[in-house]
Amino acid sequence: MSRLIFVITLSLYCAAVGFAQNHVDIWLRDRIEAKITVEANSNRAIRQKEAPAGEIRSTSLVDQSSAGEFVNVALALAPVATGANARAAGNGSGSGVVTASFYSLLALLNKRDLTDPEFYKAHTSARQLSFSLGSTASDITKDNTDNAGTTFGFKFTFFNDREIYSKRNGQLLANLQSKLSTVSAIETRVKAKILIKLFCAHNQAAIDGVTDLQRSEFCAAPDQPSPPAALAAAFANFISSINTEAGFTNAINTLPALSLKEIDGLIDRNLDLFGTLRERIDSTYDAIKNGRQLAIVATYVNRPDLGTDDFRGTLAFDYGLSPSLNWTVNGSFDHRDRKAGFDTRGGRFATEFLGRLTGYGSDLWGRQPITLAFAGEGKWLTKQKPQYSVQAKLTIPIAAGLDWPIVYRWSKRIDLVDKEGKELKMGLTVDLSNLSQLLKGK
Amino acid sequence: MAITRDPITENPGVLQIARGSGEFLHFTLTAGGTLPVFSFNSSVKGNLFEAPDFIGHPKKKYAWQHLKNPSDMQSFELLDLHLLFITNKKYRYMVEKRAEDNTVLGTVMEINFTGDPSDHAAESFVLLVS
Repeated sequence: MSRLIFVITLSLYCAAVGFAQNHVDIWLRDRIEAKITVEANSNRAIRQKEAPAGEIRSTSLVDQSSAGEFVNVALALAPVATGANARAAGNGSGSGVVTASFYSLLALLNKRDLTDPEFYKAHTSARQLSFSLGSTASDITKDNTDNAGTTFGFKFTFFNDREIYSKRNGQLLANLQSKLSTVSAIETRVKAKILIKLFCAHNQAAIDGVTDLQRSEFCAAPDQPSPPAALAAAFANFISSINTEAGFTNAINTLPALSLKEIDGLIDRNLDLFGTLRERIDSTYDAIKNGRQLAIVATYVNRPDLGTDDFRGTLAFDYGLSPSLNWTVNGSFDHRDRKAGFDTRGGRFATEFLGRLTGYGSDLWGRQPITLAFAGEGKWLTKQKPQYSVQAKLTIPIAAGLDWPIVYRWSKRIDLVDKEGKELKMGLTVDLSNLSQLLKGK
Repeated sequence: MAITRDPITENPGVLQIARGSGEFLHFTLTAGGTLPVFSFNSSVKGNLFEAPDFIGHPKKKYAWQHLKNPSDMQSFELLDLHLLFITNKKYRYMVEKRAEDNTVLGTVMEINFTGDPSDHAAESFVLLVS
């Protein structure tokens, strides 16, 4: 039964990965590892690639504490009005904002790969800071001008538990490296013993040609085996013969039950140890992925003529509730500088739950997962009634580096207009780093 | 589990080297990510190298040799590289057989790996010194 299970497992694995290799590597890894499907370490799907929430046409209701690590472009496409007051929510021309991390600019200036390990480690602090620059649509009702404004912004992530070079994560990864070295050394020894057991089980004629002592010493698969000289050629031939899927499968299929039991015993004796490596990988991944982040975000929209200028200062907090669910909270100070009227100031609170619906692809620079987010926002400004909004956002990756956020937003009261508003918004975010890496064929 | 293994030169499974020939093995591991985590083991001597052993870690290219030192000579040995992808998505692993004067005699294997953060890959071959 156990032979059947591991032949099936081996066959499925080989079919899945589609390659030939030293099959004892595949087989042993597959025997040891449970089918665990945890996701990629990249936080990129829950990094903000859209325009800042303070930008009127942004498809994001909250600001996340980390921007994209590299360069992103967010384009707000014309919204589809679904309510009588959709125009009041900003129905002018589309907006566009480019966000770049200080790190990506340094990499560009130094002509270094974005993921160059030395450069990445040396410029940890540069990844804390990002800048935004763009154009913001204006609406005559709200902004006292139809002309587009200019958006300036920056984000500084001063606390980041998801940075792999933080002191906390450095220690976690050092512990993981240490665990890998310890466990893999034992796995290597077990693998060598399995090969010897397979050889002895399948090469009776060859081992009959050596003395009983030599045979018993070698076939017992000691920690430091030394094949008798007379067996060296046969051993080399046998290892070559099982270096194909067919050869290895045949060697397993024709293995005597006793030998199979011995091999299983070798694995079982170390199974707990092998399991600790799997646990350590998963726990390290979860600890980094679910880390907390805290950032300050500032956005300023300057409008021409007598148009209203907007300023927002935000404290943004992120926490990974699970590897696929991120929670963001914003607390902001808003100021609307009406050149042709009274100013308004006040506070804002927003929160979002963002879930990843699909996994990551195998390509680092490939298509990102589909995400679904639910967010709510409340604004309490002077000389205005409180404003409340909720929204649902589905982000669909169109291609590597291109995401399409679709938003349905309901607002209790839109700025100065004391009526409900409903909007269906669409955007486009472009990860320039992804595109450039794909063009470079990486 | 989503390891993609793309061999340029396939692992032969076993390699024989004549004792006293001066031949040795040269290993190169090229990282395609931010922080490589790996371990290189011998079935006889245990862990030979791990990523932090290399000066300048983390770096793009790690290189080491085996059999240069006479104490490396074992009649039977399994050499096994273990890779984690948690902070490094891609690796290229190359093993060359070289002469005493460092001339490259041939590529034993050259393989590209891509994996997800939870993945753990291993690549081994038997070295017989006769």
